[in-house]
Amino acid sequence: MLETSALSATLRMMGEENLDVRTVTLGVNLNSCASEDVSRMTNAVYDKLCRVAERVVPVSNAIGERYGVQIVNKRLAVSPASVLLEGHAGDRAAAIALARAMDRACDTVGIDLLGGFGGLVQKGMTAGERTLLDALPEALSVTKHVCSSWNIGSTKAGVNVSAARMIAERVLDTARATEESRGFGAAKIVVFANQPEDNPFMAGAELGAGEPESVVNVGVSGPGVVKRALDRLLASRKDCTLDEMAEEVKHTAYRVTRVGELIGHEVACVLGVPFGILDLALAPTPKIGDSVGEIYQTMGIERLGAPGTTAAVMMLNDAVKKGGSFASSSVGGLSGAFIPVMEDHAIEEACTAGTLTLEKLEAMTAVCSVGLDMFLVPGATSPETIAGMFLDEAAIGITNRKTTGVRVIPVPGADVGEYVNFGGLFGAGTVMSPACPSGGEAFVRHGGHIPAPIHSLSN
Amino acid sequence: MQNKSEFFTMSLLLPDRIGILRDVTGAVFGIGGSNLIDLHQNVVGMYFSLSAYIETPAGVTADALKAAVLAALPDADKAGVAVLTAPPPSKAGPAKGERYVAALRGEDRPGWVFRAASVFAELGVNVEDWRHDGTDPKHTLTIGVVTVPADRVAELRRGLAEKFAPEGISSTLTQENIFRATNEVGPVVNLLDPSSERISRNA
Repeated sequence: MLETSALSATLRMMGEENLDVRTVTLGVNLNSCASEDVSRMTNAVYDKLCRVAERVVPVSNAIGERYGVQIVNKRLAVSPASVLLEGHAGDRAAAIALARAMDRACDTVGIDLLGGFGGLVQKGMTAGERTLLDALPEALSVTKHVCSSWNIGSTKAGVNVSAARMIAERVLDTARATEESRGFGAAKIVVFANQPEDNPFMAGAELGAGEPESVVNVGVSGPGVVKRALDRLLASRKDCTLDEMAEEVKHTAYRVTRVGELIGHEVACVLGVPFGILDLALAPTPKIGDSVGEIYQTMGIERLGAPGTTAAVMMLNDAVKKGGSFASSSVGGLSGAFIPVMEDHAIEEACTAGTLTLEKLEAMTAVCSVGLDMFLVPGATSPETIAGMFLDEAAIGITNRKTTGVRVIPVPGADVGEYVNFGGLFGAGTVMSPACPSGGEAFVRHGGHIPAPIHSLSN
Repeated sequence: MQNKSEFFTMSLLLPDRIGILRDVTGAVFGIGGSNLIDLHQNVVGMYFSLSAYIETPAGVTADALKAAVLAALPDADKAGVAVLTAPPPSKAGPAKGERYVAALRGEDRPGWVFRAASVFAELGVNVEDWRHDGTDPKHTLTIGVVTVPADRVAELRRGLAEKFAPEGISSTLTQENIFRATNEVGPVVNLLDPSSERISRNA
């Protein structure tokens, strides 16, 4: 038997620190469902999702029970839904019917969220993508489970500015269409640059063009596990250095990744689909003790947003990736540290207090693994301002060869400083504004395309 | 047909000192080149504790093996030695199922191991390896490897929690591979059931 000292770190993770697998996401390619007949297409989508995903929930639950590790979420990611609408250009009803079919399938198999109702528009927008985008506000207001993601830029392609503005308009329309829930529909839309093809986390999960017919991708998290590892290090050695903290994070990330990969392979085997990747992302929840912001505070950033915060984010993100990459050759997706405002109580409190601004968050996105996530702005924010946020994040992403994203929620009727609570995992937050909320409209209205950066010419 | 070998299980306790393992294993080897098939030794409460499974040439008796070991110990008067005749090696154990690590942590009090062992016995769970570390009474750990029938895992987890949680003692029951995955360096897929098929990504 292993020595108890070797077991103790794992025992703590399992028993006291409530390590869990955050999501098992089954990717399903729906391209075979394409049909000129809308009913045939939507029925095929419903049938295929129900058939392929029928056992995801019971199998995940059984394997979680067997190993003693909770699999918190079971989700679906589909191939870009816009492909199914290429034969139905201009038919918004077809797009709505498609969203409803996906939603029904989620109800049937017991899945809470499905990603992929979107498109890849970094070089241009097809008729099917345009149709889906135009139907998006209604589609997200009449469905519960469907999420949408749009890739507007990449290091190889540059940024589609015209698409960014169109999507910004639809985000605002979606917020207005879900006014009774304070614009919550917009929380189901993510705009990316360099969107990964295998991200298992919502709302940005999709089954990318290079992925197999179906695949299991797993997301593990564990900000609480990392924080408590640092707490113990500091309790034993108050004067430890940052590189010693980084080492502790790396070792912890190793263990967390290995658990996730074991569970992921097991689920894939039992479902009879290939195992894809493991996304090791420190994804917080609003629960105290499950916060990435608390990790930075433990590292010594007592007030999030103070100088040093960006360096702390970089160090944490890097240590997580190093530990994960040694643990598994199948690390993918986003993998790193998220900074979702509403989903992390410490980050949200700092934003409400004013110490953590949108500008500082933007700087942090240059070194974290996602982008500006789950933040509230006034419902009256102009589409050009929102598009400008998309473009700023895309510029950071394509220049630094990383994924960046924006998930912004314009709250209808709300102004800066108003507190909004969506409840549950989506958390709460204060409506924010950039320090300079307008003045870039003309830049956005020029439209067109920001060319790919010079280092895209890497051949 | 005559057996070519005899099999014995031996247990030995002796106040710890340098050289005990040499003395014991030398005595065993000295009986016609007898072979140690399995051996586990540690020091518990300053006592050298050894369990061994031994194969000897045919005709050796339990009494003879015991006498040989005692003769090899200069402090035999302080030793406790038991030798029992054992069956030949077999993979079958008293319980079918998967191996789990069961652990209890909390402030020490008498009767932990007995109560946990009672839960195991009631549910047909076999204990393969167990240790109890009460050197820090505020953070006592009792932990072991148990074989659990597949249909009893949830019940065992619940049973341990019900029995110990009211006293502030945390219990976990975790499949062994979780510990192997987090403490070993090597492909995780090697821990999976070899009979399970891994699906190709290509249609």
